[in-house]
Amino acid sequence: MKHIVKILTLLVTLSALWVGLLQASIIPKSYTWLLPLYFIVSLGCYGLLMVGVGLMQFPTCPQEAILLQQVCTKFHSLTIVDHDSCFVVLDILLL
Amino acid sequence: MEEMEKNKYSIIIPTYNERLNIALIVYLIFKHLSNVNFEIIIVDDGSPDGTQEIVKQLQQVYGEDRILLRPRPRKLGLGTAYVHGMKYASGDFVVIMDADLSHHPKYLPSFIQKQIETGASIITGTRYVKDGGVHGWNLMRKLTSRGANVLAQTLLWPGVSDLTGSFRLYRKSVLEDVISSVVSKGYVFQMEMIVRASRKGYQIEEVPITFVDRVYGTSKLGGSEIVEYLKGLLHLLVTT
Repeated sequence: MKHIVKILTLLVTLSALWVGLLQASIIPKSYTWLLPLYFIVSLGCYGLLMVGVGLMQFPTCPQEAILLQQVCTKFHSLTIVDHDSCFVVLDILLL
Repeated sequence: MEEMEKNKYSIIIPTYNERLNIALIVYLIFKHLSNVNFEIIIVDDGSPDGTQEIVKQLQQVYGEDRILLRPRPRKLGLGTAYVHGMKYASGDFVVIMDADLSHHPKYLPSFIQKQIETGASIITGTRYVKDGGVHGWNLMRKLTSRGANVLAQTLLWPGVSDLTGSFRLYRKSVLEDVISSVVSKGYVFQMEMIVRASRKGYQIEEVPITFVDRVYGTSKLGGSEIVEYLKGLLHLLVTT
Protein backbone atom coordinates (compact mmCIF):
# COMPACT_ATOMS: atom_id res chain seq x y z
CA MET A 1 0.00 0.00 0.00
CA LYS A 2 1.34 3.42 -0.93
CA HIS A 3 2.25 5.45 2.10
CA ILE A 4 -0.07 8.31 1.20
CA VAL A 5 -2.97 5.82 1.31
CA LYS A 6 -1.96 4.77 4.83
CA ILE A 7 -1.94 8.38 6.00
CA LEU A 8 -5.26 9.14 4.27
CA THR A 9 -6.80 6.03 5.83
CA LEU A 10 -5.69 7.26 9.22
CA LEU A 11 -7.20 10.70 8.55
CA VAL A 12 -10.47 9.20 7.27
CA THR A 13 -10.69 6.97 10.37
CA LEU A 14 -10.17 9.98 12.61
CA SER A 15 -12.83 11.95 10.69
CA ALA A 16 -15.25 9.05 10.96
CA LEU A 17 -14.70 8.92 14.72
CA TRP A 18 -15.28 12.64 14.88
CA VAL A 19 -18.52 12.45 12.89
CA GLY A 20 -19.57 9.57 15.13
CA LEU A 21 -18.96 11.72 18.19
CA LEU A 22 -20.98 14.56 16.65
CA GLN A 23 -23.89 12.22 15.93
CA ALA A 24 -23.83 10.47 19.28
CA SER A 25 -23.53 13.75 21.23
CA ILE A 26 -21.87 12.02 24.19
CA ILE A 27 -19.98 15.22 24.84
CA PRO A 28 -21.47 18.66 24.09
CA LYS A 29 -21.41 19.49 20.37
CA SER A 30 -19.61 22.80 20.92
CA TYR A 31 -16.63 20.82 22.25
CA THR A 32 -16.76 18.21 19.51
CA TRP A 33 -16.67 20.91 16.81
CA LEU A 34 -13.37 22.14 18.18
CA LEU A 35 -11.65 18.72 18.22
CA PRO A 36 -10.12 18.96 14.69
CA LEU A 37 -8.69 22.34 15.64
CA TYR A 38 -7.11 20.80 18.75
CA PHE A 39 -5.75 18.01 16.59
CA ILE A 40 -4.06 20.39 14.15
CA VAL A 41 -2.70 22.59 16.94
CA SER A 42 -1.29 19.61 18.85
CA LEU A 43 0.29 18.26 15.66
CA GLY A 44 1.99 21.63 15.17
CA CYS A 45 3.10 21.68 18.81
CA TYR A 46 4.49 18.17 18.45
CA GLY A 47 6.49 19.22 15.39
CA LEU A 48 7.87 22.34 17.05
CA LEU A 49 8.67 20.40 20.22
CA MET A 50 10.53 17.71 18.28
CA VAL A 51 12.54 20.30 16.35
CA GLY A 52 13.28 22.16 19.59
CA VAL A 53 14.33 19.08 21.52
CA GLY A 54 16.36 17.86 18.53
CA LEU A 55 18.10 21.20 18.30
CA MET A 56 18.87 21.31 22.02
CA GLN A 57 20.23 17.77 22.05
CA PHE A 58 21.96 18.07 18.69
CA PRO A 59 24.99 15.80 19.07
CA THR A 60 28.23 17.57 18.21
CA CYS A 61 31.78 16.26 18.06
CA PRO A 62 34.37 19.05 18.31
CA GLN A 63 37.00 16.56 19.53
CA GLU A 64 36.59 14.57 16.29
CA ALA A 65 37.34 17.68 14.24
CA ILE A 66 40.54 18.27 16.22
CA LEU A 67 41.62 14.65 15.83
CA LEU A 68 40.98 14.76 12.10
CA GLN A 69 42.86 18.01 11.76
CA GLN A 70 45.85 16.46 13.54
CA VAL A 71 45.79 13.42 11.27
CA CYS A 72 45.54 15.63 8.17
CA THR A 73 48.36 17.91 9.22
CA LYS A 74 50.63 15.01 10.07
CA PHE A 75 49.84 13.16 6.87
CA HIS A 76 50.23 16.18 4.60
CA SER A 77 53.46 17.24 6.27
CA LEU A 78 54.79 13.82 5.32
CA THR A 79 53.41 13.65 1.82
CA ILE A 80 52.24 16.69 -0.11
CA VAL A 81 55.62 18.40 0.09
CA ASP A 82 57.10 16.10 -2.49
CA HIS A 83 55.06 13.89 -4.72
CA ASP A 84 57.86 11.50 -5.56
CA SER A 85 58.65 10.78 -1.96
CA CYS A 86 54.99 10.85 -1.04
CA PHE A 87 54.44 7.18 -1.65
CA VAL A 88 57.79 6.16 -0.29
CA VAL A 89 56.54 7.60 2.98
CA LEU A 90 53.26 5.76 2.48
CA ASP A 91 55.22 2.54 2.05
CA ILE A 92 57.06 3.15 5.29
CA LEU A 93 53.81 3.88 7.11
CA LEU A 94 52.37 0.63 5.84
CA LEU A 95 55.22 -1.77 6.35
CA MET B 1 35.78 -12.44 13.09
CA GLU B 2 35.91 -15.44 10.78
CA GLU B 3 33.07 -14.08 8.68
CA MET B 4 34.87 -10.79 8.44
CA GLU B 5 37.66 -12.58 6.62
CA LYS B 6 35.32 -14.68 4.52
CA ASN B 7 33.30 -11.80 3.07
CA LYS B 8 34.65 -9.36 0.56
CA TYR B 9 33.81 -5.68 0.80
CA SER B 10 33.83 -3.21 -2.10
CA ILE B 11 34.21 0.40 -0.99
CA ILE B 12 32.91 2.82 -3.62
CA ILE B 13 34.18 6.39 -3.33
CA PRO B 14 32.93 8.95 -5.84
CA THR B 15 35.43 11.79 -6.24
CA TYR B 16 35.60 15.21 -7.81
CA ASN B 17 38.67 17.34 -7.07
CA GLU B 18 39.76 15.31 -4.04
CA ARG B 19 43.49 15.32 -4.74
CA LEU B 20 44.28 16.44 -1.21
CA ASN B 21 42.08 13.89 0.51
CA ILE B 22 42.15 10.73 -1.53
CA ALA B 23 45.60 9.49 -0.46
CA LEU B 24 44.77 10.05 3.20
CA ILE B 25 41.40 8.33 2.99
CA VAL B 26 42.94 5.32 1.22
CA TYR B 27 45.72 5.17 3.81
CA LEU B 28 43.17 5.32 6.64
CA ILE B 29 41.01 2.59 5.08
CA PHE B 30 44.01 0.25 4.86
CA LYS B 31 44.97 1.15 8.42
CA HIS B 32 41.54 0.44 9.90
CA LEU B 33 40.67 -2.65 7.83
CA SER B 34 43.91 -4.58 8.16
CA ASN B 35 42.26 -8.02 8.54
CA VAL B 36 39.51 -7.53 6.00
CA ASN B 37 39.26 -8.61 2.38
CA PHE B 38 38.29 -5.44 0.53
CA GLU B 39 38.77 -3.39 -2.60
CA ILE B 40 38.41 0.36 -3.10
CA ILE B 41 36.61 1.51 -6.25
CA ILE B 42 37.23 5.16 -7.04
CA VAL B 43 34.75 6.72 -9.45
CA ASP B 44 36.30 10.01 -10.52
CA ASP B 45 34.17 12.39 -12.56
CA GLY B 46 36.97 13.88 -14.63
CA SER B 47 38.53 16.01 -11.87
CA PRO B 48 40.75 18.71 -13.36
CA ASP B 49 42.98 18.81 -10.24
CA GLY B 50 44.82 15.55 -10.94
CA THR B 51 42.92 13.26 -8.57
CA GLN B 52 43.33 10.41 -11.04
CA GLU B 53 47.12 10.85 -11.12
CA ILE B 54 47.23 10.43 -7.35
CA VAL B 55 45.00 7.37 -7.55
CA LYS B 56 47.32 5.82 -10.14
CA GLN B 57 50.23 6.33 -7.78
CA LEU B 58 48.22 4.75 -4.99
CA GLN B 59 47.56 1.78 -7.26
CA GLN B 60 51.31 1.29 -7.56
CA VAL B 61 51.67 1.22 -3.78
CA TYR B 62 48.67 -0.93 -2.89
CA GLY B 63 48.08 -2.88 -6.12
CA GLU B 64 45.57 -2.49 -8.91
CA ASP B 65 43.51 -5.33 -7.49
CA ARG B 66 42.96 -3.40 -4.23
CA ILE B 67 42.41 0.04 -5.73
CA LEU B 68 40.29 0.23 -8.85
CA LEU B 69 40.11 3.50 -10.76
CA ARG B 70 36.94 3.61 -12.84
CA PRO B 71 36.66 7.23 -14.04
CA ARG B 72 33.87 8.88 -15.97
CA PRO B 73 34.41 11.74 -18.43
CA ARG B 74 32.54 14.45 -16.51
CA LYS B 75 30.27 15.18 -13.55
CA LEU B 76 27.31 12.85 -13.95
CA GLY B 77 25.75 12.77 -10.50
CA LEU B 78 26.11 10.79 -7.30
CA GLY B 79 23.48 8.10 -7.89
CA THR B 80 24.90 7.06 -11.25
CA ALA B 81 28.40 7.08 -9.74
CA TYR B 82 27.33 4.24 -7.42
CA VAL B 83 25.74 2.36 -10.31
CA HIS B 84 28.94 2.82 -12.31
CA GLY B 85 31.18 1.69 -9.45
CA MET B 86 28.97 -1.28 -8.65
CA LYS B 87 29.47 -2.72 -12.14
CA TYR B 88 33.08 -3.40 -11.18
CA ALA B 89 32.47 -4.48 -7.58
CA SER B 90 33.47 -8.06 -6.82
CA GLY B 91 32.55 -7.98 -3.12
CA ASP B 92 29.53 -9.48 -1.37
CA PHE B 93 28.98 -6.14 0.32
CA VAL B 94 29.30 -2.59 -0.94
CA VAL B 95 30.23 0.36 1.25
CA ILE B 96 29.55 3.87 0.01
CA MET B 97 31.27 6.85 1.57
CA ASP B 98 32.35 10.41 0.80
CA ALA B 99 35.91 11.20 -0.20
CA ASP B 100 36.20 14.51 1.65
CA LEU B 101 36.98 12.90 5.04
CA SER B 102 33.66 13.97 6.55
CA HIS B 103 33.24 10.20 6.89
CA HIS B 104 36.10 8.72 8.88
CA PRO B 105 37.25 5.20 7.83
CA LYS B 106 37.70 4.28 11.51
CA TYR B 107 33.95 3.53 11.59
CA LEU B 108 34.21 0.86 8.88
CA PRO B 109 34.89 -2.00 11.34
CA SER B 110 31.73 -1.13 13.30
CA PHE B 111 29.66 -1.29 10.08
CA ILE B 112 31.08 -4.73 9.30
CA GLN B 113 30.73 -5.94 12.88
CA LYS B 114 27.12 -4.78 13.07
CA GLN B 115 26.28 -6.51 9.80
CA ILE B 116 27.77 -9.79 10.99
CA GLU B 117 26.00 -9.56 14.37
CA THR B 118 22.57 -8.79 12.94
CA GLY B 119 22.71 -10.26 9.45
CA ALA B 120 21.08 -7.06 8.20
CA SER B 121 21.02 -6.13 4.52
CA ILE B 122 21.85 -2.49 5.12
CA ILE B 123 23.89 -0.78 7.84
CA THR B 124 23.49 2.96 7.82
CA GLY B 125 25.64 5.45 9.69
CA THR B 126 23.60 7.80 11.84
CA ARG B 127 24.70 11.15 13.17
CA TYR B 128 21.72 11.78 15.43
CA VAL B 129 22.30 9.30 18.26
CA LYS B 130 24.58 8.96 21.27
CA ASP B 131 28.24 8.63 20.20
CA GLY B 132 27.32 10.12 16.84
CA GLY B 133 27.47 13.78 15.98
CA VAL B 134 28.13 16.58 13.59
CA HIS B 135 30.82 19.23 13.59
CA GLY B 136 30.93 22.43 11.59
CA TRP B 137 27.25 23.26 11.24
CA ASN B 138 25.86 26.64 12.24
CA LEU B 139 22.50 27.06 13.98
CA MET B 140 20.62 27.57 10.71
CA ARG B 141 22.03 24.37 9.26
CA LYS B 142 21.12 22.44 12.40
CA LEU B 143 17.62 23.90 12.42
CA THR B 144 16.98 23.00 8.77
CA SER B 145 18.33 19.52 9.36
CA ARG B 146 16.14 18.91 12.40
CA GLY B 147 13.07 20.36 10.68
CA ALA B 148 13.61 18.21 7.60
CA ASN B 149 14.11 15.16 9.77
CA VAL B 150 10.97 15.69 11.89
CA LEU B 151 8.91 16.27 8.74
CA ALA B 152 10.20 13.10 7.10
CA GLN B 153 9.81 11.03 10.28
CA THR B 154 6.21 12.23 10.76
CA LEU B 155 5.15 11.71 7.15
CA LEU B 156 7.13 8.64 6.07
CA TRP B 157 7.70 6.55 9.25
CA PRO B 158 10.91 5.17 7.77
CA GLY B 159 12.23 3.45 10.90
CA VAL B 160 15.66 5.01 10.43
CA SER B 161 16.89 8.03 12.38
CA ASP B 162 19.25 9.55 9.80
CA LEU B 163 17.69 9.57 6.33
CA THR B 164 20.12 11.73 4.41
CA GLY B 165 23.38 10.24 5.63
CA SER B 166 25.57 8.81 2.89
CA PHE B 167 27.89 6.49 4.84
CA ARG B 168 26.33 3.07 4.38
CA LEU B 169 27.02 -0.62 3.90
CA TYR B 170 24.75 -2.62 1.58
CA ARG B 171 24.54 -6.26 0.68
CA LYS B 172 25.45 -6.02 -3.00
CA SER B 173 22.28 -7.68 -4.32
CA VAL B 174 20.17 -5.34 -2.17
CA LEU B 175 21.96 -2.24 -3.42
CA GLU B 176 21.40 -3.38 -7.02
CA ASP B 177 17.73 -4.00 -6.33
CA VAL B 178 17.08 -0.72 -4.51
CA ILE B 179 19.15 1.57 -6.73
CA SER B 180 17.28 0.42 -9.84
CA SER B 181 14.02 1.85 -8.50
CA VAL B 182 15.44 5.17 -7.29
CA VAL B 183 14.83 8.24 -9.44
CA SER B 184 15.92 11.17 -7.22
CA LYS B 185 19.20 12.98 -7.60
CA GLY B 186 21.50 14.85 -5.26
CA TYR B 187 20.39 15.45 -1.71
CA VAL B 188 17.16 13.45 -1.88
CA PHE B 189 18.88 10.38 -3.39
CA GLN B 190 20.08 8.97 -0.05
CA MET B 191 16.65 9.45 1.52
CA GLU B 192 14.90 7.70 -1.35
CA MET B 193 17.38 4.80 -1.17
CA ILE B 194 16.75 4.11 2.51
CA VAL B 195 12.97 4.64 2.37
CA ARG B 196 12.59 2.30 -0.63
CA ALA B 197 14.79 -0.30 1.03
CA SER B 198 12.69 -0.05 4.19
CA ARG B 199 9.43 -0.45 2.19
CA LYS B 200 10.84 -3.47 0.39
CA GLY B 201 11.25 -5.07 3.80
CA TYR B 202 15.04 -5.22 3.95
CA GLN B 203 16.48 -5.28 7.46
CA ILE B 204 18.23 -2.00 8.22
CA GLU B 205 20.47 -1.43 11.24
CA GLU B 206 22.24 1.71 12.40
CA VAL B 207 25.68 2.51 13.78
CA PRO B 208 26.69 5.89 15.22
CA ILE B 209 29.09 7.95 13.14
CA THR B 210 30.46 11.45 13.41
CA PHE B 211 30.33 13.86 10.52
CA VAL B 212 32.97 16.57 10.34
CA ASP B 213 31.94 19.20 7.79
CA ARG B 214 35.22 20.68 6.69
CA VAL B 215 33.87 23.53 4.64
CA TYR B 216 32.61 25.48 7.62
CA GLY B 217 29.95 28.12 7.09
CA THR B 218 29.04 27.27 3.53
CA SER B 219 25.56 25.93 4.06
CA LYS B 220 24.70 23.34 1.48
CA LEU B 221 21.02 23.83 2.18
CA GLY B 222 19.77 26.87 0.29
CA GLY B 223 16.21 27.70 -0.73
CA SER B 224 16.28 25.58 -3.88
CA GLU B 225 17.56 22.56 -1.91
CA ILE B 226 14.65 22.92 0.52
CA VAL B 227 12.20 22.98 -2.41
CA GLU B 228 13.93 19.90 -3.88
CA TYR B 229 13.70 18.17 -0.51
CA LEU B 230 9.97 18.88 -0.17
CA LYS B 231 9.35 17.65 -3.71
CA GLY B 232 11.32 14.49 -2.91
CA LEU B 233 9.27 13.96 0.26
CA LEU B 234 6.02 14.32 -1.67
CA HIS B 235 7.29 11.98 -4.36
CA LEU B 236 8.12 9.34 -1.75
CA LEU B 237 4.70 9.76 -0.13
CA VAL B 238 2.83 8.91 -3.33
CA THR B 239 5.21 6.33 -4.82
CA THR B 240 6.29 4.19 -1.86
